[in-house]
Amino acid sequence: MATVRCAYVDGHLGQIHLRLAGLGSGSQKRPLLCFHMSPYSGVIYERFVSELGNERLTVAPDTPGFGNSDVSIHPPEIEDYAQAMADVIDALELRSVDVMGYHTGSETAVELARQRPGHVHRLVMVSAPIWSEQERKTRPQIFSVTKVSEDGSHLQAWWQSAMYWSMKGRNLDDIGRVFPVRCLNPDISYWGHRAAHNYDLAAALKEVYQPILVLNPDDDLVDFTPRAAPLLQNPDSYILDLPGWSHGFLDLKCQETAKIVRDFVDDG
Amino acid sequence: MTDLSPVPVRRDYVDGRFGQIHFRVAVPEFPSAHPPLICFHMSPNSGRIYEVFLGHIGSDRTAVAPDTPGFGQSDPTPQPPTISDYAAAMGDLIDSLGFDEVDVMGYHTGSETCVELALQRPAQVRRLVLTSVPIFLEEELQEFRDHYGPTKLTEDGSHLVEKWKGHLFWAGPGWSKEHVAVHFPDSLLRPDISHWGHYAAFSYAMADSISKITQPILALNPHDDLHKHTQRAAALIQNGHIEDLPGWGHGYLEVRTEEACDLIRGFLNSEV
Repeated sequence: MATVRCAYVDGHLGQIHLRLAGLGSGSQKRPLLCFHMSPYSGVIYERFVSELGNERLTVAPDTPGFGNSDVSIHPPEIEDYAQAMADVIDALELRSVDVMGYHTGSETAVELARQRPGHVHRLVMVSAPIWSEQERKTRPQIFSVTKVSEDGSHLQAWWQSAMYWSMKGRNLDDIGRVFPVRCLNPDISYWGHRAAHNYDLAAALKEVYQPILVLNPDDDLVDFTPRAAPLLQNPDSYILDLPGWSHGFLDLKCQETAKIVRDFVDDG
Repeated sequence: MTDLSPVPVRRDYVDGRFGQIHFRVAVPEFPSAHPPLICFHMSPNSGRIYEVFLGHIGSDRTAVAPDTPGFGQSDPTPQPPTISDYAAAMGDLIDSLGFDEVDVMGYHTGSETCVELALQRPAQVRRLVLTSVPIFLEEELQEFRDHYGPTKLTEDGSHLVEKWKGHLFWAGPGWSKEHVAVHFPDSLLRPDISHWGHYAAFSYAMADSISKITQPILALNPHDDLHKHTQRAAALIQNGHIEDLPGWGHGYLEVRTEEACDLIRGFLNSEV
């Protein structure tokens, strides 16, 4: 396991906080950038970064408004998040990179590949939510300001949701380690979901020609991800179902995930 | 006339003996003749409690608020630390930033770190601003130790509700639940060791230490959970005084930022 260090770089939306391992190791392998889900931060990749950092530069930024990164002035769209992640590539002076994204982060990864086709070599998406127009209209309205309650019930609701969607074997300590970042910036922590909801992932996927591995755990997006299959352009792209895996798998199945990702991004 | 408009606050890391130290920093627009001010937070929060304050006080001097080891984004110590360890780590920060003479400011546990740093580096620490001076009686210490332990995580999240209610209970005048929500997540970090700050504070011989300090001290005494404990320090402070602050409580750094800056500038900028 490599030592994970933290750092900041400057981007067009302010300071961007990073967790990284493998910097300056002289590894010939392409760096891997990992984009988190909403409303968490790069903390979800902490063990994963440590696992892969022995062999390649592995970087997990906090997207603007999450973790320790600066909050943008206006609610960002996925295009803005991708631009901010491109700022990370530039600040670290990286050329070719592989990218991995988790839920909202998987949309950011796709958009980054669209914006920087020359930089992005391969993509790993954890879920590829494709919504029908009807679903877009009828999905529950989770995209609004959290009302902070006097009695703390908002915290309890968040905790219970994290418990509910956690895969079997994820214990209280695992959740307790990442949960604090979920509570940051409650007035704007819906911005990530908002951006994800606004993004036309189906249209974007049709414009990405790099190979994409889509991981499909048994989580809240399991039914929506298979719809991405006909949208994947590269013949090396595919969807890998992960029955029994759900939130927390980056910790609980850290080595297995590292192998899946390594085998895919190093192939070709 | 110096322009005292707030300046931007940035964040960065330096390396210390226990690993990376995360800090917030505000730098005045023009070079300042005042020594930098280093601000140490209470337990179990982080330098975030100073974020608004730094932007204001930083308009005429460099102002830095580190996360002490194990809090915020700073790496933890391998073992439960003492106040001496915290002060040594803060010394590492001062060295990394290349500061010579500094003023220090502390809040609860951070006040003890200030005092200890002044003992460790008497020639470097010029003046001290202490928010509360915790002078505990032996029977109080036992009660506090029993109260502050490792956070027991619960299936139903009731540990969060209990902690949240505690934060609201001690919220000072003007400190809304929305303010509390900004800082609350820091108290949830590393639940297994987040009590280490309190334990270090309860083990520190504050009365003995503060009585050895010859540098000027301004002790601010808001009417918070350490109000009566701070009053006990009056006879121990050699060179300074206690400013009783009725109507001030937790959150004053944001609710009364400009008043606090005036008070602190008045002390730090005064002729000896």
